[in-house]
Formats: sequence, structure tokens, C-alpha cells
Amino acid sequence: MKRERCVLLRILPLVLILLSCSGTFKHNLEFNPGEPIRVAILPFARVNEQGEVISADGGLLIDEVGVVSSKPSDDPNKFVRKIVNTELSKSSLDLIPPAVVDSHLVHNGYALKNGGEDFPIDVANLYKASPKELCSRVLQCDAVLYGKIHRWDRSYYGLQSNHAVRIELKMVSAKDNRAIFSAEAEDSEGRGITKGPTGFSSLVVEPIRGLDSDIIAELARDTVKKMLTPLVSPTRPEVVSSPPPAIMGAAHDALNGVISKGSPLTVVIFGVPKKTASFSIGSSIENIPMVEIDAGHYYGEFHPLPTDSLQDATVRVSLTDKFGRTTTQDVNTGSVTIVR
Amino acid sequence: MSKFKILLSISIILISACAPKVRVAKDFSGAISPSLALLPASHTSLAARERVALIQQELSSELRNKGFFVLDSKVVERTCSNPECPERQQLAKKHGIDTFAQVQVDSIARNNFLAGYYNSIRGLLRFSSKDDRELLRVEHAESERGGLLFNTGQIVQGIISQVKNSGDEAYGTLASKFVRTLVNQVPPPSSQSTTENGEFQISSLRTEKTPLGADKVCIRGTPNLSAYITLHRTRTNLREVTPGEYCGIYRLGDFLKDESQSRASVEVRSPFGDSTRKELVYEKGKVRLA
Repeated sequence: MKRERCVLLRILPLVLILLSCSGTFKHNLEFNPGEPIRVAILPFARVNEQGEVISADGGLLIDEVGVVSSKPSDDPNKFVRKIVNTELSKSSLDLIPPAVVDSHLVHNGYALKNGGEDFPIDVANLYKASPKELCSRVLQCDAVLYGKIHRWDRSYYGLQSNHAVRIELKMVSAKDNRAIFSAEAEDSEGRGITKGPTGFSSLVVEPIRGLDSDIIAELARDTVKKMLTPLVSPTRPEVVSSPPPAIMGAAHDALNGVISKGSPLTVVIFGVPKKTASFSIGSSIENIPMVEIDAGHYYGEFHPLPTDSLQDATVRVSLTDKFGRTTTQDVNTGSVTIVR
Repeated sequence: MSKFKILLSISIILISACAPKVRVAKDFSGAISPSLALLPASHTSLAARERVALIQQELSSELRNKGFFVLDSKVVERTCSNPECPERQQLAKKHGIDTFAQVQVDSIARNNFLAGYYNSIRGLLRFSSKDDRELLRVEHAESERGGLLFNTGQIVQGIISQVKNSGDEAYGTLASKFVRTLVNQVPPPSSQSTTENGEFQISSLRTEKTPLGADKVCIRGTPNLSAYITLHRTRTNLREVTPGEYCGIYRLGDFLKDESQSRASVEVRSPFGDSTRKELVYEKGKVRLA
């Protein structure tokens, strides 16, 4: 009996530690995130267990105590939406700026009645609208991203404090109102007895310090990063395991760097096959598309308009793969100038 | 009682010493106009370029999150010859910008003591007018410490934080905290109303064959914007040849013959990110707006 109690006491801390570290993440991806589709990230909603939109919580009283915590600058809905915006700005998606989204929503009837100076959005009403209608009539987008905060808790249990978040993200295509990406995650972070206190004073002090609002903010940030891994190319497993596109050689046909009036500039690339190829000239001609005329051989033409002007401009070629990774190279057959 | 007052005063001084310092110009109205341009970051040679670039990217994102309309960085790069941007009057005139923001990174330090670590970023965020008069300045040093040395109360937390610090993510987390702290001190934009009201339009499209058999594509729309045509997942710019008329020359048949690959559209876009788009339909060798 004494021996069993001893074994239990040894195992218990390990179990507590493991429990405090657990998080669940799941996602579903139904489109190529390398495609630069235009996405509107809608204002996020705090929901209850029945899935109904509720108002966001205020902070805890402990946030008024400066040495322990600090008052969060935003409620959880706005805060998580900002993190998602920041993370997705690193992806290939073409994001509509949040101020533009909010402005369009306000001007198209989605402001809360008596919303006050900040014009908060009527999220409950917004989430009932069809994505097709939102994108075509209001936002000019290819897809909308919804976010729901199911859980945003900070709890104090004397010898332990816990932070828990549960977030759901869903991206819906405006073409057919179909979910093209969804992710759900729940994670928690603790301070106190599960993190190996070194003395009696830390047993008391650490759980109080553990109520710091920064901890739940970092937990939310880490959770969102993991949720968006499938969309942010550099971190996806299938991306990491495959080589990026390679350009073996490129050239253009401008003799002595001169593009004459009425004649096009031809650019060719030799690189890995089945990629998307383009070239740019200086800063004023962007991404002229090229065609793959043979495996790995890409061909493109730039036809100058009478108003185009180029002076010693560098020709730069690019190859992009399906994950959105791009390799660029300056064509070393010299810069080009348009001569009239 | 007097000892308590001394202790309280010292605590207040210590806490306030860690907070960002905000300095405003005497004639600053307290509000910043919603449209601004973010100038290239300035930094000492000791700060690695990639790390400064990450701070710049985070700052652009945070300012947008705060509700500002931030001018497209490509427009700024094309116009400004150096971080101080002596050409700012051009940006102000062309895009209606009254305010310019710039981050200055003074130092980035990462110190790993094996049993602990101390990382810090020091710098400032400056808002200035179109004639380079300083309106608002926020100075801050963001630091982070962890590992067993600084988590003497919790062994497991100390080990976890030391392991997390060994990866590249640790700098990213610190950089985003630094930027967030700076931007949190900035008052929100003066008005939520905006010029970005979907007033942009594309009214018509015409195509004609060139002598070399290529297709000249022109769209008519709102003037003084950027215009693009997307062919085969590649977005390329059309050039404004007359106010409101944007053109480019391409061999459309090469890109629109395969329906599965042809996602063709035209778009006019403001330098603040708002746009209007129309899909293209390719039928019997001819293109029209959907």
C-alpha cells in the first residue's frame, strides 16, 4: 500500500504536466493556397456553447494590477482577428486590408444600430449573409474568412492558474459557398504546480503571476500560427520536403539592350518544368506571363506601348511553384532601354 | 509608513521606466489621418537586414490592424530614394497622404547564457508630416528573459522557455511584441470614414489586334489607380495611357485556350488595397467582360 502510494506520487506530477501541455488541432484544406485569391477577413465573433454570438468578456480585475498583468488593448475577437491578419499576410493570399473590410461593411448596412463612434459591426447579422453576396456586392473578394472564439478563459485555482482558448476558422469560397479551408483548435497553458515550483513561496506566487494577460495572448498567437500552417507555405510539411523551383538559365533578345519601336522583347527561361513563369522589367512592367512551350522551356514577349518608357531597366525572371514559392533571377544579357 | 511610501515610489519609477516613452509635438492635434505612408525602416549597420525587414512587415500589418490605410510599399519604394524620403511631397500630392510613419531600429540583441537568455529590441516609431515635421514619437525597448536562470520559481517553465528560445520563432515573437507595444501607443486614426468606398469602377473593355498578331487589351475605369489583368494565375499590370484608360499587349490565346487554367480577370486597385474586379470571358477567340 505504501509502495503503491509512492509510485502514484511519482507518476502524478508527470500526468499533470502532460495534461497541462495538451492541445487539439485539426484542419481541412480544399484549395491550393499558392493561388493569390482575394480574401476578406470578417470581424470575429465570440460564441457560446450553442454557437450563438455573444458579447465579448471584459478583462479580469487582476489586469488592473500593473506588476502582475496589463489590461488587454483589444477584446479577444479583435485581438485574434489581428493575429490572423498578420499571419495570413505572410501567405500567398491577397488580403483585403481590415479597415477597408470594416468600412465597406459599415457602408453596406452591417453596422450595429446605435453603434456609437466606433461603428461596431453587427456580427450576428453579418454571419447570416451569403459569402457570394458579400463578395460580389460588398467586398469584391474570392472568399471570406470567418472566425469564432468558443473559449477564452483565465482561471485561478489557488496552486494553479490556467489559460484556455478554443478558436474556429473557416474560409468559404464566394463562387459556390463551399468551405475551402477550416481549422479548429483548442489549447491551454498553465502556471503553478504543473510547472515544477521550486519552493513554498513559488507555489503561492507563480499561480498569481500566471494570470498575466500576456500569457493568454501568447497562447492565442501560437494556436493561430499552428492553425494557419497549411496556408503559410514555408511551414507546410509537403513544402518543406520538396525542392523550390530552379532556374538554370534565362536570356532576352534585345541587341545591345535596345528595344526598338514596334518590336517586342522576347524572354526565355530554362528551368524546372510545370511551373508558372513570368518576367518583369524595371519597376514599371510587372509579371508578364510566359508559356511553357516545352518541358522546362518558357517563352514570353513584352510589347511596349507608345507611352512606355524604360531606361537601363533590369529584366528579372521568376518561376513559381504550386506552393507559391518563387525563385527569381536577373537576366544577365544586360539591361534594356526603349528607343523611339 | 515612510518606508512603505519610499518602496511604493521606487516601484512606480521602475515600472514606468519599462513603459514606452511617447513624445508629441506641441501643435499635434491628437489625431492622425487614416491614410499614411510607411517609409523604409532606418537602422544601424549592426542590426541584420532580415530582422529589420521582419519588424517593418509586422509594423505594416499592425498599422493596418489599427485601422490605418497604409500606402502600398511598392509605391513608396518606387518614389523614395532613401529612408528619409526627400520625395515625400510627391507621395503627399499624388495620393493625398498627410502623415508618414517610420520605424528606427537602434539595436537588436540576443544573449544566450545556456541556463537562461535575455533578448531585446530597442527603437522608435515616428510619425511626421509631409514637410518632415515630427508629430509623434514612441520610443521603446522590448525585452524578454527566460530559461532556468530567470524562472527560478518553476523548473519546467524554465526548461520550456529555454527550448523555445533556441528556434527562429523566438525573435519573431519578440519583434511582434515590440511592434505591438509601439502601435498601441498611437492614437487611432482620426476618422473611420474613408475614401475607400468601392467608388472604383471598370466600365468597358476593348481589344484590337496588333500588326504582329498580339492582342492589345484596354479597360476604361476610374483614373489614377493601378490596373491589372490576371492571366494564367499571373497578375500583370496595365499602364494608364490616358486618364482612366489602362492598356497592355499580350497573346491572349496562349493563356485562355485551356479553361481549367484560365482564371482571367481585370482589376483596378487603389494604392491602399481596395479594388474592383471583373471576370473575363473568352469565346471564339474574343474576350469580353463577364
